[in-house]
Amino acid sequence: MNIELLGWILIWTAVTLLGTALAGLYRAVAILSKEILPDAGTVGPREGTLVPPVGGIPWGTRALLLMVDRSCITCGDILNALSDGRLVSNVGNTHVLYRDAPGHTKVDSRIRVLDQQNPLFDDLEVTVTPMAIRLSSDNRVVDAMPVGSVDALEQFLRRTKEEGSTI
Amino acid sequence: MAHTAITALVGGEVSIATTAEISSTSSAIATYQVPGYLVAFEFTASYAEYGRAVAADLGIQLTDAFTFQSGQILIGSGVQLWAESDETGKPFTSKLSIATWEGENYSLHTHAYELDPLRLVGVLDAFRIEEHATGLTMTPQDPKATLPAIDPTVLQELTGVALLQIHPRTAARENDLPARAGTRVRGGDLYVDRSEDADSYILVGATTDTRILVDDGCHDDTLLDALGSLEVSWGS
Repeated sequence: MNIELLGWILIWTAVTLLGTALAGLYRAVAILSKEILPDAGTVGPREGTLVPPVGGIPWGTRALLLMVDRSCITCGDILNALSDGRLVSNVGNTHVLYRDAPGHTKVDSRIRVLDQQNPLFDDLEVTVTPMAIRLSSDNRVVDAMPVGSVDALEQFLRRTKEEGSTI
Repeated sequence: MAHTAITALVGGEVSIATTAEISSTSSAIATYQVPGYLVAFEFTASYAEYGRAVAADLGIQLTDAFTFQSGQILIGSGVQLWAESDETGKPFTSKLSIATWEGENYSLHTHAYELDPLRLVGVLDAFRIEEHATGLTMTPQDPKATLPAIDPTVLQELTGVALLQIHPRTAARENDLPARAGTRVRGGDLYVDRSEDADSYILVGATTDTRILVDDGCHDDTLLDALGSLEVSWGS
């Protein structure tokens, strides 16, 4: 075996080993990234949290609470989408809750709007707005998700609608 | 002499003085282990649009926006192609998510592979972010659970001269520093590192060690002036 051939064999062996090592590294990164606890990185109220009615008025069957903020840049888009019928939702059981003062966006008259709800935001650990919360008929949180776009709200509504039959 | 001050993400302020022109933008980096994740998250603070610029460079569209603390969070994800391929020649791909918090003058962003971008909102929620005149600080909501993973860094460019990678002097970093004395300059001991492809310099001061990555084409006299006059400190 001449020296040139030996050199090529060594080079290709090294290249193969390097490729295998990189593939292993890639898989390790993918596995490590997915290794998370179920609750890690979630925000908002936990499933089962009781949400007492505000002002003695019941939330209604499988109510949707939208926690919003006057300064929130996407809240207007989301409220418009809810009001103009683009989304799958029973607006009669939808409640828009402002942390402080109400915003300027007009919503469907069937949607109940409450302002100055900061204590409820604190109780439910709502640190991000807009946040959508679906309640069960006994006023407990069934699902909650920050909805930063109309698409995200639509995804949330479809998800909770599909889950609805089992609640 | 030009001076600047930069708030380190973990708290404290970095002060820089040199004869060279100091770029108006800088970055501060911190890495934390957030409960529930095996991987640590790197957070980078810089000017207000920086997180958006990083996302755009990566081809990621920031699709969702939230109000959070005194600013807003933008999130998005995209597919990143790796240079390496599998056995069939198909490149490896990863889902890359990014979240950037924007305040009035500064932003803070983080990223993760194979993670829903919404999870990154929860990662940011593990911190209290505060905006100051010279940068941002992030403080863990639960300091016992959310721990620093590696030492923080501040990056500052000296226009046309070099990039400064500034670290606080910590016990963990002492072992990486030369035991012998370097060339004495105004800001401490200066060393040349010839271990990389291109030479770089390390300035070890009383409170910082700073790696200096010299710009291509920087004139020797300009570099000597800048290094000779450079002072970097990390105050509490």
